Amino acid sequence: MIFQLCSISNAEEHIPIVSREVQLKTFPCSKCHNSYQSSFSVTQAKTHKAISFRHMPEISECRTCHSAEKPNRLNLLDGTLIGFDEMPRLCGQCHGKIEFEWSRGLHGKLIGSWQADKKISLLCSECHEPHAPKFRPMEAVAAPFQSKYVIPKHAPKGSTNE
Amino acid sequence: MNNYDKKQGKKTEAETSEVGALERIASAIEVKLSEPVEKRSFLKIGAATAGVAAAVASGLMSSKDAKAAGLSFDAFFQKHYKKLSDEDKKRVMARLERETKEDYGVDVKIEDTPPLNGVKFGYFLNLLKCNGNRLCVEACRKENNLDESVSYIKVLEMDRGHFNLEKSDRFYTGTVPKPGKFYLPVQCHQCENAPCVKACPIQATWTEKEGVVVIDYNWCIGCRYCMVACPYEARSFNFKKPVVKNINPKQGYLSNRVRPIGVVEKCTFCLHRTRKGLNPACLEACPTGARKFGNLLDPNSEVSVIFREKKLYILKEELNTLPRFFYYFDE
Repeated sequence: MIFQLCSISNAEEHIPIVSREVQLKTFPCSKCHNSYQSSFSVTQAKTHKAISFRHMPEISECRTCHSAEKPNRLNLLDGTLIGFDEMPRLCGQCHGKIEFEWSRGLHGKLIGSWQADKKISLLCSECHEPHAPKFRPMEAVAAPFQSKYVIPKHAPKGSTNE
Repeated sequence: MNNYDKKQGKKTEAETSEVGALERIASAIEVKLSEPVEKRSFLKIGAATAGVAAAVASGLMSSKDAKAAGLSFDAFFQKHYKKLSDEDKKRVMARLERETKEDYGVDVKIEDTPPLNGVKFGYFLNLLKCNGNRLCVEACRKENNLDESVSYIKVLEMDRGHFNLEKSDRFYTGTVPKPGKFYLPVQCHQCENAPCVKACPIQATWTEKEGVVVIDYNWCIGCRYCMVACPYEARSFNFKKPVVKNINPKQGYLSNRVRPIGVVEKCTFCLHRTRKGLNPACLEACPTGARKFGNLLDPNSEVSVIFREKKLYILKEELNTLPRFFYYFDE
C-alpha cells in the first residue's frame, strides 16, 4: 500500500489516504489513449469490458468525469483537472455532504489506527465501484452454529436457544 | 506438571494468578470502604485456617507445613505467594505457549501489553450502513481463535419499524440486505456498570483501565454466573476443548489466546490489537464502513464527534449498564 497526502477542496488539511492510482491496472490511460474523442460504449472495448455504467447514465457520459484532452486526469464540472487520487473533490460536486463527512472521518472507514495522526482514509473508489457506486446486495456469511441436539424442531423462528 | 515447584513449596503459576485475584479483591474492598485496607489484615480475615486446609487438600502445601497451622496468614503467603515480576510473567507466558504447542501444534506468542493511559474506548455502529453480511463475525472468529460454536458477534436481523430484540433472527442466510429489514450486530458492550463483573463470585472478570471488561481464563471456574447476568448474551462458554483451524499466533493473555475447556469468553475489543494502536478485526473487515472505534477522551477523534453530534441508541438502556457500544444513525 502506498500512502500519499491528499488535500481536499473545502479544507486546508492534509488527509493521508491509500492511493488508488497505483492500484489501477490500466493506469496510465495515456498508454493507449491520446484523448477521448467520443463517448462510445465502454463495454465494447476489450480492456475495459468489466465496466458497467450505472451512475446516472441518462444524463452523464464518460467525459463528464474523465478529461477528454488529458486521459490521465479527471475533470471537475468547471473544467479543473485533478488527479485520480483527488477523487473526493469530483464526487463531492454532487455528494458534498458525504465528502464533508469523509473529511472528518465519519463516512467509510479509517484504517491503520484509531489513534490520532495515524489514521488513514480510503478514497471513494476503494469501496464504491466508480461507475456503479451503489452497493450491491451481497451473500451473507453462513449462519452461526446451531447445535442439532439443542434446538427442538418446533422452536419458533428466531428463538435465541443455543 | 511442575512437580518440582510444588514439592519445594515454591509458587506455581496457578498460585501466582491467585495472588493477582486476591489483590484485586482487596482493592475492590478498599474502594467500597473508602479507606485503605491493610492487606495483611484482610488476608487474616480470609480465615487462615480454612485457607491452609484448602491448600493441603489441593496439594499445594504438604501436610508437614500444615502442622505449623499456627502460621499467620502473612507468613503463609510470604512462603507461597508473591506478586509476579517480569521474569515470572515471562515464565507464565512461556508455559502457556508451550501448552498451546502441545495441544494444537502451533507456535504462538502470548503478550500482556500494558494498558494505555488517558484512553477510554468507544465503539459506534452506523445502523444505516450495516447490511448484515457477517464479515465482521468471520474476521473476529479468525482473529480470536474461536471454536465453530462460539461467536463473539451476533448479527440480529430485525424488522424495520421496531427495536424489539425478542423478535430478531440470528440465523438468517442468503442475500443481504433483505427488504424491510435492518441489521443489528451485538457483541460485548464493555459496560461501565457491568453486571457480569458484579456477578462473578471469584473476580475472574474485571474492567481494565481503557474500559474493556476482560476475563482471566486461568482463574475462571466456569460457573457461568456472568452469562446469566449479561443482558446482551455477549458471553459464550467452552463446553468442549476448542477446535481452532488456523490459529492466529499473535495472542494476548487477556484477549485471544486459545481458551481451555470450561471457561467463559467474550469480545475484548481485540485488546491485543487495540492496545498497540490497531483497529479491532471486525472494523477492518466491515465492507460498508459501519463500524467506528476510538478514544472517547480525545475530543478530536471521530468517535467523539459522533458521540456529540449523531443520534445515538444503546440497547436495554433501562438496565443502566452504561455500555461503551453505541448504535447511531446519520442521514
